[in-house]
Amino acid sequence: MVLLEKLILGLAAGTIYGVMALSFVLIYRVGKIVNIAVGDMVLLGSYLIFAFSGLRLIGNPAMNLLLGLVMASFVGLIIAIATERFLMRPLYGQSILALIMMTVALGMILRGFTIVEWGTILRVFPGQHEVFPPVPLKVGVIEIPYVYIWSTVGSLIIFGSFLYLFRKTLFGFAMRAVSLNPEAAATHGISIKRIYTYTWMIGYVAAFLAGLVLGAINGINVTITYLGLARALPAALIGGLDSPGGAMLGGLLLGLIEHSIGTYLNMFIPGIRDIVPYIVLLIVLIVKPYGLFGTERIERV
Amino acid sequence: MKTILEVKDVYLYFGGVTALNGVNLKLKEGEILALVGPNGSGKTSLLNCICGFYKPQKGRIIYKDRDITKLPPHARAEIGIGRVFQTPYIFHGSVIDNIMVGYVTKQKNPFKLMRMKSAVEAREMAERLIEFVELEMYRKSEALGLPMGIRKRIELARVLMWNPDVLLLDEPTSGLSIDEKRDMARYILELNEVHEKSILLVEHDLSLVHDIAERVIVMDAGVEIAEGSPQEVVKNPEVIKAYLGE
Repeated sequence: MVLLEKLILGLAAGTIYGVMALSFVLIYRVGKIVNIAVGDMVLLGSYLIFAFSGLRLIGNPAMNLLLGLVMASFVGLIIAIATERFLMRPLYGQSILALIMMTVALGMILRGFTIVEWGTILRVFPGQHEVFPPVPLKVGVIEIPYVYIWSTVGSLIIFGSFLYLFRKTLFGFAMRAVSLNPEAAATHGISIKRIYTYTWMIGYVAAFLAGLVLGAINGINVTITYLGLARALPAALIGGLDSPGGAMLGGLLLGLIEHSIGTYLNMFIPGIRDIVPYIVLLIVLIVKPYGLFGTERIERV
Repeated sequence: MKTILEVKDVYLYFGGVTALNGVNLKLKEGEILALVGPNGSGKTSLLNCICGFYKPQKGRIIYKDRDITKLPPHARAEIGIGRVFQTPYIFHGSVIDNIMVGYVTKQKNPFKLMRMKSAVEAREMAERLIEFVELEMYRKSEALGLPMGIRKRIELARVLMWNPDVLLLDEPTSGLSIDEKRDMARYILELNEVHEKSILLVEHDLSLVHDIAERVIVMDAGVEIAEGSPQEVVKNPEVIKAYLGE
């Protein structure tokens, strides 16, 4: 029963990692940008939700937190436009390293802003304990914290919406077309600058949702940055850097292993739980260098 | 006939290499104009300048009396220029997905592109074009794994989704079997004669050019060396020299 509980918690955590990895994978797949700032985007999201829900515009704590997420997401859309237009666009056509360094700079700017604005004290969302009661939900002998239940529901909704968008709509077809060959897609009438902007928008919104969940689980402070990157990156790499479905499966696998094997080993070797994802990553990359669902590149010589 | 597309004194350099050296060209409404010449003569570079893939260092591109030299590639597609590549540009997805994406050119609003209504409309258009290029049996096949001839038809159908007035076809029959070449020639003629498309065609197969083109421009080393009917240009000494050497 303990193992079952850990597996359920692992799956719940995995959906959150999957959403963070989705943000990472999407920006990589469409724009070929390795977004090192993903953890900082998650951090900014949790602080913005904290700030907006702190306004207490609605009496109901759950609705207030949801409104905070919606308002933060709107700000995220504006930041996404600014990120694409002023930081990334001038570097298109430059080396991949230049783009990576720009995402490092973006991360520092976002993190620096949150530290200047909100400091480093651990904070919690206003009314959080009413929305996510500290007493877990009991199903028989299994105990599941409410925050994990809601985070799983939220993550699956955003992931399902994204999959629908990517696979079933013309918008998704355009994203897929740009991801394969931006110049040719442009010649076929697709504005690549617009698609890049929309991609950053989705990336920010997904990261902000993860910010709400991680903030609710761990509290809000700068450590979210490291937690975000430390889980998004291996989940994305395990699933395959260019596979949105792989991102979610990578996240689930990571969550499961971390909460089962990781938790078990942690009793004997304290701290190993945080290393387990990287051990899994190493094994996957040795066996399948492009990740479990990544596209294998075959180049002519 | 009125000129629909004009290339005026276009120069294109790649470092020290001159790809286009003052090229001039006029495509008239409703005609099929063929661009021929040896490899490296600048034919594809010229198409790339017209569709906005390359930015020429000098010269102008005029489309329907409008200077489009500075327009980005997607905007040129929106105003009615359709480009078909020599190596078809296909992404992961079914044949119909690959064709439907051409609808994006007609609809800029991202929210409308997310709606099912747009997808349904695009699917109906794509179905008609699938019939035109005779790909009914491949409708749901993964497009990337299909043979060259099929992929060329997919790309042609995608470009037709936004109903361009000018088609830029880059070696549409290269890599095709004799039967496939005949089919492609039939589509090109129908597009020209029935659907009144003006077509600029880059082609190495001179017998095909002879059969379908009204006028031919011959290029060599980035300059135009001859112009006239297919029958005239093959007799031109400059053309013979360019193809066969001294």
